[in-house]
Amino acid sequence: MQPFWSWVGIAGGLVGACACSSGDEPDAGSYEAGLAALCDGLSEGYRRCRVRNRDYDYCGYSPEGYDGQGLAAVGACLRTEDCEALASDEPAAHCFDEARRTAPLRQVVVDYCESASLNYFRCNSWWSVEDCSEGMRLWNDATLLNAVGCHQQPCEELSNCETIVFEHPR
Amino acid sequence: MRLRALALACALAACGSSEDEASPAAAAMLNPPTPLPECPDADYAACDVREPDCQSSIAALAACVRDSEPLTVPIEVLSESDYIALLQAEAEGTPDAEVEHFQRALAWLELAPEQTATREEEIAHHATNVLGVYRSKEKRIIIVDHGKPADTPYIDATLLHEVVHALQDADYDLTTWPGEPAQTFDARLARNAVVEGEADFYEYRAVAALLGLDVAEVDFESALLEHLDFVQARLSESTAPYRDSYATFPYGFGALQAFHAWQDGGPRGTDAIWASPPGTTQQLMAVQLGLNEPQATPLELPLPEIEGLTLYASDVLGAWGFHLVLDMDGVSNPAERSLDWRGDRLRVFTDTDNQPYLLWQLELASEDAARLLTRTRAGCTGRSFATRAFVSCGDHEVRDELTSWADAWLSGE
Repeated sequence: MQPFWSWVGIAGGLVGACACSSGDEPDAGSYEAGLAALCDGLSEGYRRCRVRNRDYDYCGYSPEGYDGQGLAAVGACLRTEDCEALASDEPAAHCFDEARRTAPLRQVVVDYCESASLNYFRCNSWWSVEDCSEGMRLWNDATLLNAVGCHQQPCEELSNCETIVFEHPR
Repeated sequence: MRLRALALACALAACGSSEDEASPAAAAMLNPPTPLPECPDADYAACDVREPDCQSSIAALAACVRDSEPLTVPIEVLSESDYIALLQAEAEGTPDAEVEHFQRALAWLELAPEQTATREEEIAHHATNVLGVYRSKEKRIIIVDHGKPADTPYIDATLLHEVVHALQDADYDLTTWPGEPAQTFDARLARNAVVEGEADFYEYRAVAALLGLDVAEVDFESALLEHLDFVQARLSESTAPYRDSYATFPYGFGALQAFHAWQDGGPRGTDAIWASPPGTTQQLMAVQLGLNEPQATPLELPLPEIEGLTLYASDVLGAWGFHLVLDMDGVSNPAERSLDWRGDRLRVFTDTDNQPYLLWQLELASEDAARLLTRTRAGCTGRSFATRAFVSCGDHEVRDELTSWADAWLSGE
């Protein structure tokens, strides 16, 4: 079964308010810039669709451990997202899925997935390199590199180790 | 036959669907599939098992990994409900088997629930848990669609598993191999392990490449031992371990057997197993675990002849059945300890009021192993002496004559 941390970032990110500020501009490509782009995209989407019962300036997403470029891709999607989706309980779910599928694939993701697929196979769990690379594309480099460190663990430890890494990302 | 959840796999609709193809740039970054060295020209791209081209490429890969002549076999994908309808139609008009008393006997040993499942329940259970099946009488494959994508490495490997059965059938005629029908639980599991084990192992070997792995880096021994642990854990949680053993033991131990034969002799190394299949689960387990002395044939246990009791059913549970009982009893290392099995016979009798009675006799290699069966069990008496043990059970009271006879047998009278 595909490990749950391919989607845990969204669930984790729904808690807490957006920390976007109007101070110094964050570096393009950084987590802060990406999160700002996501929040701006969501806000613009809400306004375009005149979504009812929503605070247009409240973001509600802060998925820790995600890559800034990925978050920016989510934001770009949200600007033109379907209004029915924006009005739903999970307004950004589809855009996160889209970003996973279309965000640029980085070598660190490929390296993580080749290692993960090989070691999950050793532990009688089948996860193709291709599926992994799609599901894990939004995680940042530091978190993925940290997770690779789990892959030499015995099978009964491997899953627990990755759970800790992805629930407490860098 | 391929059953669900015997290998954990990507099961979410979001992964591996043909609607979510990687972008060209992403695809370029991913290494192309590393071919299996024995099949350098095969197609390793995930494909839709409903498509004829996919069926052909998977069938070709199966023939290649097994070093067999390619074979064309009809392949049909049925929904779960359509498969259930097919099974129900085939079962119509067939009388239900008389198994009530045998079921009761298994329930005394906690190997089955007291109530026999209805035919509809059994059909539904089978259809829910089966991914694919090769029907040797019809020479065709059915893939059961459980609503998951049809173009993932997981389902492609399932089809490959079933094609291997078709190839086995072409070599050995699965409807008659190996000549003598297996009459007992123990013998059937040992025999099924050859059939399912080979298909399972080749499925693992092929799926490694389908998953994008370099098979040279894959630790098959570890994966198959984990597979074995997984199926044993499933049985520990089952309320019907006797029935569920058919869906687990042959795959777990059988795949290891096939892998080791392949290591020794290459793709046709499994021919040796087909020529001389294990006769007992003890033999198979002892060889694969490298423990105890393999027993190719069981010791026979004498039949009690007691006035007023009629033999209703007879079976041999084998080392695996002994292991199931020990596991249910909470004995540590049940698999290892069950290898002291040297023979057993489970017999169900009925009296003149059609009340069932059970006598399970065992010959073991050690007194310690025999003593493991003396635990208190509702409705039963368990005794041991030296390397013999028995469990006798009855609905209302243990039949005195039956237990007396078993006591005499224990002490060698």
